[in-house]
Amino acid sequence: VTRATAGDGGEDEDRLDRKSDISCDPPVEESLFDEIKRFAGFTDEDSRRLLALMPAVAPHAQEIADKFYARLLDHEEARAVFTEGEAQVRRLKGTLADWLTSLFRGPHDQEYFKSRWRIGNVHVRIRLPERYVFVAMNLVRRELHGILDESPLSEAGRRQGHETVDRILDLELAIITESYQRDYTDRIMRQGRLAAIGQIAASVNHEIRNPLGVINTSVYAMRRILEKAGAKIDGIDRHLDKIDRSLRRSHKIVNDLLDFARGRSPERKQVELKQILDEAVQLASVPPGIRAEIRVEEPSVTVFADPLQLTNVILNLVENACHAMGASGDLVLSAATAGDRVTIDVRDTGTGIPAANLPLVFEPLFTTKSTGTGLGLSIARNIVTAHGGTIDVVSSTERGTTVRIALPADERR
Amino acid sequence: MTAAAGIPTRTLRVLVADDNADFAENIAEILGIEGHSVTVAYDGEEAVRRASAESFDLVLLDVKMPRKDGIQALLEIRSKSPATTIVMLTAYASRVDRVIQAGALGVLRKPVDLTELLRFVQRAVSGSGSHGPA
Repeated sequence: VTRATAGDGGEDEDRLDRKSDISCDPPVEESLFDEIKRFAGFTDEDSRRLLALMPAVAPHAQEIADKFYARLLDHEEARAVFTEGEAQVRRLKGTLADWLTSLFRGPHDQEYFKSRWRIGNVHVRIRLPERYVFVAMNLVRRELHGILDESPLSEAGRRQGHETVDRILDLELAIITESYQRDYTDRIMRQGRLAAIGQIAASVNHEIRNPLGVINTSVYAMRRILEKAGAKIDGIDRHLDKIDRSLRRSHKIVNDLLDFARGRSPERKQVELKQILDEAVQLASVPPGIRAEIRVEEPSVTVFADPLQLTNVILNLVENACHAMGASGDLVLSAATAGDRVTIDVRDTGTGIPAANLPLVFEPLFTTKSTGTGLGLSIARNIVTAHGGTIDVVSSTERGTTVRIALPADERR
Repeated sequence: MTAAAGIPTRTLRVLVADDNADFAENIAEILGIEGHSVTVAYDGEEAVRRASAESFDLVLLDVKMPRKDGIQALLEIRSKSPATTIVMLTAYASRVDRVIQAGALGVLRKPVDLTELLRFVQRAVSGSGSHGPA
């Protein structure tokens, strides 16, 4: 089972889990790590030296972690990153102490690189500005050199120790900055795509709506002409119905594109989730072979949300689910309150999403459907994020897909 | 989709102005089927000229038209014939407030919901065209 996540909502144990589940695999692993090692001049000899130095360093790991975070927390802007207070800092100190020990323990192989890459990604994800990384890393460097200075090593051993510590810390820095660079490139690319979509949306809105308006009025006129003539021609109504359905689909695509480009702010009010789920299922025209079930906690679950936007999100999820299931399957929509969050799950028994595609599902224009625009989940993510919520996908090709939306509970109740 | 308006109680003189000729002619044909007498104009200037030359019970104006945009046409038609009921057509939600302020009875968003259009026609037929948003 693999997961993708998006949004910017509250923190829970589950979320901590999944932080490590996406976009954490280093790109072109082998060559990048080897290239960085070669550049830093890091060899197997360094690995052996670090292991030998570990007993001298390990007892000081917690003390270094304390100093490290005291330095960060002393700085107002850096402190702002740690939004969860003391518990978070305590946890991070433990992580840093472990990190220091593993720095010396090694082995400095591909697995080591992967774990370091994940740590780099955490820095990026919590939006710790990159400039703090260098100062913080220098603090670690000074502390480690200080420990070596105090250790009962020969002068040559101490010099080699200093060199090795510098090389491993250079390696660490290179990996972390690479994570930042990767994130920056991704964001630039995403912004470029969004700007392009905005331009396309404006032009499509006018250029496509006009011919759609002609088709729509022509279908209407044809029905009226037939009705007035009292003509009943086999198959004509069936075809007019098909044109109507295709028209509705085309309008939806144009509207999706516009919604995406405009990113309208939510107009919130108290909303009964049962109604939203019911409406989305009705609008989606679920195939008869799919059993659709709606489960909402009694007496009711409400959120403070934009009903139109939320219905659009659920409609997109239901349509994706139906597409994944084809003619038959089970579709379950459920809503429940969990502490200060309200969760909405849309679960299907469809084909599932291949693990390689999961990190991409929220990206605009990504689609595997022959008729999709690749905007549905992007719009869903934008809307959910604008509501202060998160959206996650858990999927396996054996069991199907569950999309979970978590929204802040309606405090006005 | 089926006709919702039914037989009108009286025949209206309607002007439809839209630079999308097929669309304008389709609207004209649909209103013609409902028993109304319809004139088509393909830009704002032509719409104003037609409205000056003869009187209409209902004018449907596209907002975005060549030679003279719909809002300008609306202002000019209203200044000459204040009693004419004018309904605007637009693909742009952002322009709705502007056209209502300029004196339109209502606004139909494109794609036009024909049931909604025929409702406006009914209001014009029954003479209850008070000004306000659709």
